[in-house]
Amino acid sequence: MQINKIMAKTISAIFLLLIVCVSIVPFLWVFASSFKSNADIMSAAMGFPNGLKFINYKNAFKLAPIDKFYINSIIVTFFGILLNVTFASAAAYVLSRFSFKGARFLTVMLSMGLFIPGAALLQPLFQIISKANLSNSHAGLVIVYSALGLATTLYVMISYFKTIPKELEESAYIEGSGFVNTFFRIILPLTRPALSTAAVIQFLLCWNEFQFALILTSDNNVRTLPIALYYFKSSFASDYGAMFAATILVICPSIIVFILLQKQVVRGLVAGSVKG
Amino acid sequence: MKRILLSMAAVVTAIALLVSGCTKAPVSTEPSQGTNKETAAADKSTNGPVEVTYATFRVGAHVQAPGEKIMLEEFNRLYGDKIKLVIEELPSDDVYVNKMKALAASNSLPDVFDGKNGVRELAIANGTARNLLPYLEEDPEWKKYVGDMAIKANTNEDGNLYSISYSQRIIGYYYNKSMFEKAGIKPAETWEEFMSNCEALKKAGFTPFANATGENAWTVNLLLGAMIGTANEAGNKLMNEKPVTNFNTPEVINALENIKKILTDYSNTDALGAVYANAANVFCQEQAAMIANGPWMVGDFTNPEKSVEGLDQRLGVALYPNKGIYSEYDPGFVLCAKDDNLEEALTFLKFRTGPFSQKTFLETAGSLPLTNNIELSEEFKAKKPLVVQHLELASQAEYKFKTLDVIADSSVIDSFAKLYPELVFGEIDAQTFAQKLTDAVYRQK
Amino acid sequence: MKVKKRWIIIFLTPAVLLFAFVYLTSLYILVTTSFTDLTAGGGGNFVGLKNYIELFKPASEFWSVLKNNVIWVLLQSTVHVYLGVIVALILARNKWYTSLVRTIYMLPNIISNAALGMLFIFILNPKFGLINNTWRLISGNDAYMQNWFMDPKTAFGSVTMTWLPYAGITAILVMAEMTSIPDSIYEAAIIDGASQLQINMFIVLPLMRNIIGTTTILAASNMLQKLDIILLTTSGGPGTRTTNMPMSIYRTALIDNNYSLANAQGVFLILFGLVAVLLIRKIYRMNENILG
Repeated sequence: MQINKIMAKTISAIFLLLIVCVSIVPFLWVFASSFKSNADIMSAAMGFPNGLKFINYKNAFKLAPIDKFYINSIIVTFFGILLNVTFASAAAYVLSRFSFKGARFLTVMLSMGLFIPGAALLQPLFQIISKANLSNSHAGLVIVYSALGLATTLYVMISYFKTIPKELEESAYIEGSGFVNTFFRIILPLTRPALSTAAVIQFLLCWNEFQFALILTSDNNVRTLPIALYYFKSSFASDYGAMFAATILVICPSIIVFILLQKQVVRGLVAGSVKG
Repeated sequence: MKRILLSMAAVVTAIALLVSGCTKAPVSTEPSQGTNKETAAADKSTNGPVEVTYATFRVGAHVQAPGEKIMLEEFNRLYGDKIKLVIEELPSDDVYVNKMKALAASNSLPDVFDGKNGVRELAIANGTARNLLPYLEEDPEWKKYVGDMAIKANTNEDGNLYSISYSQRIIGYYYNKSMFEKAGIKPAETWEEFMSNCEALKKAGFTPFANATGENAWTVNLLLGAMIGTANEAGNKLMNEKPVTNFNTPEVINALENIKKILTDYSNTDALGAVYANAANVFCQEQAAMIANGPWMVGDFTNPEKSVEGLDQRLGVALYPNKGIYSEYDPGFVLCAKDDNLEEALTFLKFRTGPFSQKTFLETAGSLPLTNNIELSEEFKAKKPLVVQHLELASQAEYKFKTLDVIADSSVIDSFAKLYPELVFGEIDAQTFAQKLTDAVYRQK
Repeated sequence: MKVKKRWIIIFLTPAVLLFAFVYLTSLYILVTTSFTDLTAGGGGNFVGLKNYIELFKPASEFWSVLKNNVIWVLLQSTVHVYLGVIVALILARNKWYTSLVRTIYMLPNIISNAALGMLFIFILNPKFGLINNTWRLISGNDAYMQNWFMDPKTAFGSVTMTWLPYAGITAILVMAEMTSIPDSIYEAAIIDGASQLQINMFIVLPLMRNIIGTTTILAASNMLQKLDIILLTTSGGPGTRTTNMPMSIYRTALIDNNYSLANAQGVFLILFGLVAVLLIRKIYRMNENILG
């Protein structure tokens, strides 16, 4: 019995160690490469034979308009999350709380986004956004990203609303609270964990998306960070050091957001998935 | 299950109803004038600068990015009060071509853009590219710098000229003189000698070739094209016709067999799947004796970030066996401007392809000018002898031909990266390879 | 009641409009153009089922593409998900390292695919890559040379390994669900003399059925979106050995300029996704919930 327990502990420890290695190697590798010279990266040298190249970070800003793109990414991500979470949670509330004709149909329809691949929508969406005069604007990207994340946010929110007892609202109504008031004052504060879960997932989408950002914008005053990564690779000259420096600059906010919100995320999913 | 399917059917019906009701003909092919054009027209009436849209991939780490910056600054200095360039930066060549295709499909190409990799053909197909011959005839000074050769090279089957080149490309191959010396060889005159040279280099402990089959398989395809283009008249004809429709020829198959040998025995061990940057690094770090590439690479040989010290002193450039060399003109720039800013767009096109630009890109990126009217300064000749040698070699060549990237379409070029590994690992033979290339020709729309 | 109805409509309208604007209109364009001869250079005439017939003729490369995609969906919805579940089981019931490991396991999901692709290119490089170098060191065979991405025998497996182990999202979803199991159940089981393995097998996992089904859907649908990383590592080769449906759509549209054929593949991909989701729901007997 005791031996079995030790065996199990050892095996799970080795397994975890393996998982940790496999997951952290990519990050460490990118991080180390961001301080390497081009030649060192391309010969995969261990260490830094040509010295630490802090200049990669300077070059990253010089070769690509990273500062501008940073601001645009923050704007697009902020509003992308706001719009997505507001719209989806309002819809999720109604769809999970009230039974009316078409409720089921609407939920099925809105969750279709889960299995519609973005790649298939690229060309059609380009036409639509141009027709609507939204191309080359923050608004165009915000709308597209909000829609792309609609299904996931809706799913997280619906399952969470289902865990909140109906009695809460009923007593609120009896006390004379209106519909909107009940939603904003009583229900929404309770879903803070689910809201932050949805926000993190939506953050990753808005922050990392490349294809739509490229196709739907043309002006550097509108474009977002993932496009910056392509400034370092061209057919006859590439600056990999600067590219990995830029990659680190792009990743950092994501990691910070995840660490800050991970407690909330997990809580959100806990309660949210009690009843799927 | 049934209910879900019913719901899905309802959804699809709803889509149809909704869309046909709200947005009429979303796939119409009528030319959609972007907002840019409208503002341009408005600007004109208020005497502000007229907007001209321009797309460029010469940004970031691109070899020509510094030249592009100088060119744009000079243009703004000269014309900035009358013409406002609205620039779309499209970092990396793939990103550029992909976006331009999307723009071509919705008839919203910029006023001036590079027509490479089939972009020009799309602009011709959708009817927005302008015939530039009349404008050239009106301006003898501009025509002088473009030159008859470049005009002839870019003239379309219908007799019209849809793009103006900005540089000529002459491509031989670089070799490491000290490695050649140690192996006791000199640049080969025939392909048999070429292969035996490789063997000699290998025996002397060197990797003969720096190669990469990834992306557009640039370095390998230069070798392949040179073998086809110097094999005989038929092969040379194939490497000069555009577009190629049949790769099932003895010259192609024979060349592919040689390439298989080179990739298996005479290349860097990571050639399969590697990208150009890897091959260039292998050569610049003196880990291989030869690489096929053009004059724009010369700058790298003196760059301490990229090459070992003094590398440029140890390098030579040679004709391919049978006295062959690549000689072609870049497809160059296409003009798609509408009538309301045609004059201004044309001004920019002339500047972009004119003497100042040609000279700037020669000095900053080793792009060879179109005609002898741009003279190479003594200082430049002394600093970059390998660029000058390219020009000298071109005058000695007996076989001249174009790169596969220019004579074949994107479906064919894209196939190489996937077929070379199959060839080397023996999954397909050279004959099948050639057949698959021919199939790819017919996939292109 | 009347007031409520009004509010229901007001609450639903924004999401429905957003969905209609982005999804329904593009789906409409996607479906209609798939019956035309639209290319990058023009066209757009109705040609009936021509594109679909082209796609499914016996000699079509699309069959091997489809096969690859089916295998990847299967692997991802089994191995990948189980991996995430095992990590979750080990990390469950907050240990000192739980939050650290959870963050580290999420890292590869945070890093952009473009950077991950570059990384694997370098790690698996036959000449100087980490894997080959390590093996040379261990085996003492200096001539060892395996071109992981380009050798037809290892290409598929190598590409698979760029995403299969990274089940961070599955793990956090399952872990979250596990904390909802009351401690009293664990305590009772331990008093009854159940081992940790038995508790996991017979108590925890059955309670996790719903969330595992959900993560399986997420993982499977993710396999219908993978593009960047394939593009950067093998671009679908050698031959079509590592081409999936998004890659095939990308190539048909942007390399071959054949938009209508690409859109026909898009329509098929969506139907394929729908079928996959329905199957997974059947297998995990998931509760009636939002997916109907």
